[in-house]
Amino acid sequence: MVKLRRYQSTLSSLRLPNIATPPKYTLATLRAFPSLEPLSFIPVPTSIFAVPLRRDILWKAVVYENDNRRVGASNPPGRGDVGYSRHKLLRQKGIGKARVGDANSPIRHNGGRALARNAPNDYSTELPKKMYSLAMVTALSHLYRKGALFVIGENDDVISSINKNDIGILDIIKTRSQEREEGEKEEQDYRSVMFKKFIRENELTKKRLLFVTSKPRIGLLNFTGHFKKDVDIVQQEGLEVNDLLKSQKVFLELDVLKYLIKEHGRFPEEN
Amino acid sequence: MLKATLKNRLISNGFIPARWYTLATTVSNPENVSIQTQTPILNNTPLNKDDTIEEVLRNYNFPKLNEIKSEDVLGNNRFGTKTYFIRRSTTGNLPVYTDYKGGGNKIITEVRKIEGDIIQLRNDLQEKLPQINKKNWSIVMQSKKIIIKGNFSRDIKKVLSASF
Repeated sequence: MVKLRRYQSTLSSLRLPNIATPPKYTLATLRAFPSLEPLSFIPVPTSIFAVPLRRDILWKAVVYENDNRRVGASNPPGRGDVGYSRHKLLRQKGIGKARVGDANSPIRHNGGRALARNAPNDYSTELPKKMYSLAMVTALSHLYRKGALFVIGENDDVISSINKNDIGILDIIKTRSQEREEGEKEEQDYRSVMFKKFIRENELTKKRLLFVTSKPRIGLLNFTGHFKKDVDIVQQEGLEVNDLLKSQKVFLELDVLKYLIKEHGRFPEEN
Repeated sequence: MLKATLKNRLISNGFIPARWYTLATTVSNPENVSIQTQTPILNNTPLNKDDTIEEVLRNYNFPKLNEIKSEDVLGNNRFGTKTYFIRRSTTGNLPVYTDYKGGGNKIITEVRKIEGDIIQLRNDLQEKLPQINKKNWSIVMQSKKIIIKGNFSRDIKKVLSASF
């Protein structure tokens, strides 16, 4: 027979007085690309956009990523690799100098390296998955709070986008209005101008931008070449905390947001 | 949990059942129990922790603004000013732990997963637990933890389980 404990009824005097339920959502603006025209609001779980800032956790994640990024290709010569004789340079006693071994010793000017190793050297470290997720979510929340995060997408609430060239994904494609003109005139491609205009109009010159896409976007990749020093394009699976922290403005697709909530956050509707 | 997974798997395989039966086999007097039925909500598939990313992308839509309560939105409720909340762990336990410090010489009790006003929570807990010396309480602001010198995990769990 299972013993039942019913704290709720018997210990109601122990109930804490100031309990409240934390907010579940925070509102994010849904925007069109490339005009960044605001289209609608979406309720985003607080587990991804309203996490308190933890610099210690961010630091751990950055160190973890940078450790794992190291190739470890160095091949420093050890005592055996330098190739000098094993002959003792000076006799042990009677010279008035310090004791000396052979020329391979790491204390000599031309000696081998102490604790030498061979490539590939593995410098990778480990971090609990939950801690890495917390770091990712912390970085996203920080960007959101700064106003440096833009969510690109469409949903049912949107009536219609104002600009002809606007789309709901992070890509630079030939829109329908351009194709129609092609019939009349000779082929005109505005796509290379579009991204330059996007940078200029939104005052993003010389700012580090990060585009996170859900699928490979060939158009975006091709027509951002002129700005490749400042513009990074990452697919959602390859997103790192370093990328988020190093960029000044981040652009996410709506599907990327879902992916990140699934991977690192928590859906409030989840049971 | 198991039922929900089964349900999702069936739906993803294209099997749409007319109704779901709740399990009624574990009761002591099965003759008196009638089979309860539930009508399925298929247009709004419930999310599960073991859903794959493809399933989430296909099935999940962000709720519309009229589908959520205004108190649930950040900024609309005053959560955090003199109020607090403790989230239970994924296994449903209270986040109260003991740890041995100083080479196993010193035992501490730790309360984790606190959201909101941690100082208010400490004060309220101190009021409910006068047997613990106030000198033994401390707070870690960065990771939002309450640490108490000594093993008081049973006492704290007793108080917390009345609330969370």
